[in-house]
Amino acid sequence: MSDKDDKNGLEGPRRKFLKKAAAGALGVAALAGAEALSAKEAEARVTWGEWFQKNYRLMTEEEKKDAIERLEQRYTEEYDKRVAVDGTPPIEGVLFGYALNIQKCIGCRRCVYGCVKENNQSRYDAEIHWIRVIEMEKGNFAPEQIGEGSSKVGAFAGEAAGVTLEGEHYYEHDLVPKEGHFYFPIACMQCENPPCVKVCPARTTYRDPDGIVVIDYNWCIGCRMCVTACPYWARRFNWGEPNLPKDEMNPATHYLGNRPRMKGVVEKCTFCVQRTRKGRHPACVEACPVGARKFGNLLDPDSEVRQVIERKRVFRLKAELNTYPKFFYFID
Amino acid sequence: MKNLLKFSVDFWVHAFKGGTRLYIWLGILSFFILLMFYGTYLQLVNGMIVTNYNDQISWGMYEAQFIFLVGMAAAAVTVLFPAYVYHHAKLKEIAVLGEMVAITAVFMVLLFIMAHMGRPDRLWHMMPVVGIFNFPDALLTWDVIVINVYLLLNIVGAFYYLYKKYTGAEVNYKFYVPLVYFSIAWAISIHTVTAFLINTMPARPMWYHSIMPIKFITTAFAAGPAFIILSFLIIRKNTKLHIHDNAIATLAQIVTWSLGIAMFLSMSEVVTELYQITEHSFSLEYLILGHGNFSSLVIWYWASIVLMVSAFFILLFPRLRNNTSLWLPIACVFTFVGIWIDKGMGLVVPAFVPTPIGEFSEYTPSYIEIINSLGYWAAGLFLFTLLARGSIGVLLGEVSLKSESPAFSFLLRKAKVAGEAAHKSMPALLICLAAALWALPPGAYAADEETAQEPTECFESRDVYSTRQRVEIEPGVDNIKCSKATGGVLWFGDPFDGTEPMGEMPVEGAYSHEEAVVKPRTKQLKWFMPCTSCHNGQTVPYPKDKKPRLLMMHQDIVENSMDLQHGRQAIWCLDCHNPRNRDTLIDNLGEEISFNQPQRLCGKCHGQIYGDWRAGVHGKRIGNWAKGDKKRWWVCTECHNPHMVQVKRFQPIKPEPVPEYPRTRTKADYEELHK
Repeated sequence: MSDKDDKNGLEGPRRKFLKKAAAGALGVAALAGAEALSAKEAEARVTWGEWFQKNYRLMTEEEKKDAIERLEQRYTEEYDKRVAVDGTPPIEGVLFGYALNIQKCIGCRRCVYGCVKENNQSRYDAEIHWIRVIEMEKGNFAPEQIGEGSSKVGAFAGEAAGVTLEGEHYYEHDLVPKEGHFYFPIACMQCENPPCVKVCPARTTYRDPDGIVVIDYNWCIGCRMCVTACPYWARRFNWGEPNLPKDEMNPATHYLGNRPRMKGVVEKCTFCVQRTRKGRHPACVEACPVGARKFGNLLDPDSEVRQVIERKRVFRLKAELNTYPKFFYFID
Repeated sequence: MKNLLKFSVDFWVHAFKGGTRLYIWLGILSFFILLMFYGTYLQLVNGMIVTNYNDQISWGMYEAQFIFLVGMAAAAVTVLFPAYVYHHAKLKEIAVLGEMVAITAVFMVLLFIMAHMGRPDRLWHMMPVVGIFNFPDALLTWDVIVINVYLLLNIVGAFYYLYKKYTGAEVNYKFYVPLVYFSIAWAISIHTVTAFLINTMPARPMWYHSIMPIKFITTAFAAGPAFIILSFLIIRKNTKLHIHDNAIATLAQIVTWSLGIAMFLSMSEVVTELYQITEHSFSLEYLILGHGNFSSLVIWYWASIVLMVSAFFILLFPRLRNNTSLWLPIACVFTFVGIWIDKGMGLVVPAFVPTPIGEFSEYTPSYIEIINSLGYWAAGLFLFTLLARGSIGVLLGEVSLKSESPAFSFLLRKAKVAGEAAHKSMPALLICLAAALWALPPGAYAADEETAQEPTECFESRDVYSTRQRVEIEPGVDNIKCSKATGGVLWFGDPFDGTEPMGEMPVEGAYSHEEAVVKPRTKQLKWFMPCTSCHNGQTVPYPKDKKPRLLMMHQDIVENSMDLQHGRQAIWCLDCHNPRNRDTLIDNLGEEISFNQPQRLCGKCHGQIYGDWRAGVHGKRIGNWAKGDKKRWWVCTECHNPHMVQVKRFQPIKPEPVPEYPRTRTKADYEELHK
């Protein structure tokens, strides 16, 4: 046991934690003989602890620390590397906002996979992508097609006329941007008035003061009300056990952000809460090769995102639904 | 107390007593229940991946049954209401059977809800007191309240009545009638709230209309009594309980008018949505007509329409409606099945097609979903059979306090013995429990490691002519991670790696660049060879003026120097490059500018873009987001090639791989839709 500790460089929290377990909060330890404390028992203690922990928002500082320690221990064992779970609270005076230049976006999907790498999503199989890049056709006008295609006039109750559909994110081109197309990435809009939060029966998902809508994965009951209520198709459900290879796991995690999820819970973009609450840009901003993505504090008039709102024409997706997204689209 | 115990034993003993036909029936149901145990086990262990649910269509079979069955539960009202409000004597006699339908339906609702949940083990999280009950915000919590209270009301109502009958005492109508009235009102609420649960989501336009609650109630009041009529007909045939034709006729009338109104409402919906097709109508259109090659629901929709319309016309004629041996059962089956489709899969699934971003896909339930759903229905019918048989025994007087009960006295004796045994075996049980916990599976994380490391050519910026920066990735260094598919940088460990301060930027305006760092391009110059090693005035003499002339060198940068395409021949090399010190740039005022700060030169002409860039609107920055915090700025020439800009524009690049298709959709579907 101690060998393993040393190998992982886990003297501190884990040792303390094991002592606590040995103190025998559970009858399980007593049954097996208190001295010979095996990994399995420690694990059982973690499982029990996770099972009965409170909703993250209602935990005391002490309980938060406990929960985080438990997770660090479990993840460290599961992924064979030192995993840090962070619990940094929202920074005061900060309201995060995002801006995206749809004129610049070339549809290369770097943001999508940068996000997957950073945020420990399930991959290769039962893939989860928080960002989807939708390919849109540039407008055109063909007089000879009037009455045949999208500019049909007249009415037949049973056929769509004059409406473009099929947001396409399965495009497979050798090269992007494709002639005659533009690209429109979507992810969680971090609404000020989020429908997903309202419908959650257990207050698992909530809006933090910095504007990020977060999820306590350990509290989620998997009812998918939020998935259904989200008008931006931003929420993803872990249908099975997520597939996260050990060597690809990002060990710098946040409790409400990119820590590995379990099956049966909902997840979504958190503006990389593990980075942004420590001052860093989200991973998608850093991955974007054309600088189409801008991020910053909406309360700071000099922030990049405020400058975008000031200088450019911005719009928000489905603003008519009164969700007040904090994700702005703009063009030069 | 003892009477109550005897009642419960007698009730269930009587329920299980029956002929071969009963046992065959229960045996068939048990078979489906056993299958369901297996299916449910698989779903619990593997997660909902055993279903055909997906990111696009995240509700399906289970939710469809849930919504339909809430309606069935509410439909007990169709028996109670005429019985107690209009004092329909014949229905009053058997009203308790209606309550049994309600109890059964709610039981099934609860089963389907458990199947719907991704983490049924965490159900307690949404319970009041122990968990967090998001009341009144979340309509699901309203649904939890109304459904559970309704279950309680019906259990109390039904068994109070039966118990009184059992003991032979008078029913206390001062207690019972208000209870019934209350549960009638409550029944309306359960279906209304369930409608509100789904029609309050602007994200799902197909559900987002105010006709939903009333349509729910009318369809419930058609399908529910249709089921009750069928069960009454079966009961009448197989037991001694006399159910008067009058009672059945009343229910048949309720079915007729509810079905008529429901169809009228459906028609209103269809006309409103499809007359002027908008974005709001696509789901309904998909349901009714299909979309391209996605049309699995179309046949179901039309089947449901045919069933409901024919049922309505059969029921319209009193002669057919009162024919309890042929036409009425047919009409009831048609109604039940028609509404089961209309309000089940026909309501739930199309709301998810297309998704809120307009993606079409299709869903058909998996085998696990089907065996589970069949099993939950079988469990419901099993329960209903027993409840109905027990109730009939009481109503007929076959089960009463006065009758002998060998089973009860037997159990009373055994209970004593069992109690002692349980007391003794407690430690053993505890050990078993502990052992089970001890052996909890740690969660198998399959690591499908793709070890095949391709030689990665990694570049930071967009792949353009001027600024291709290759970064070798050393193994074990978590600095930059590149895509195996394209070589593009996906992830920066240290965004400031290899950077140095950008330097002074003496310009007006409120912006901060104190902590701005750049990848030094001056250093890059020196890697090759400083320009001044040739352009030193001796090897290559300093040019006399800035007039364009034919160059024999640097044709890799500009093929024909007389045709330099930056500003369409208006400017030439020496307008930007410092003739006296080629390691620097020069602006129109003769000020020397470092290659690290090309913006100071470019901005002289491209003022507006320069302004945007300074403010952080144009161009890329990584690092920290806060104002004045350390950021790595990309300068002009890291993305743009200043030479031949009119010719060598941005080149298209290779995109990262396509996302996984939903399980129920293939690439062929995609191609079909995009012909």
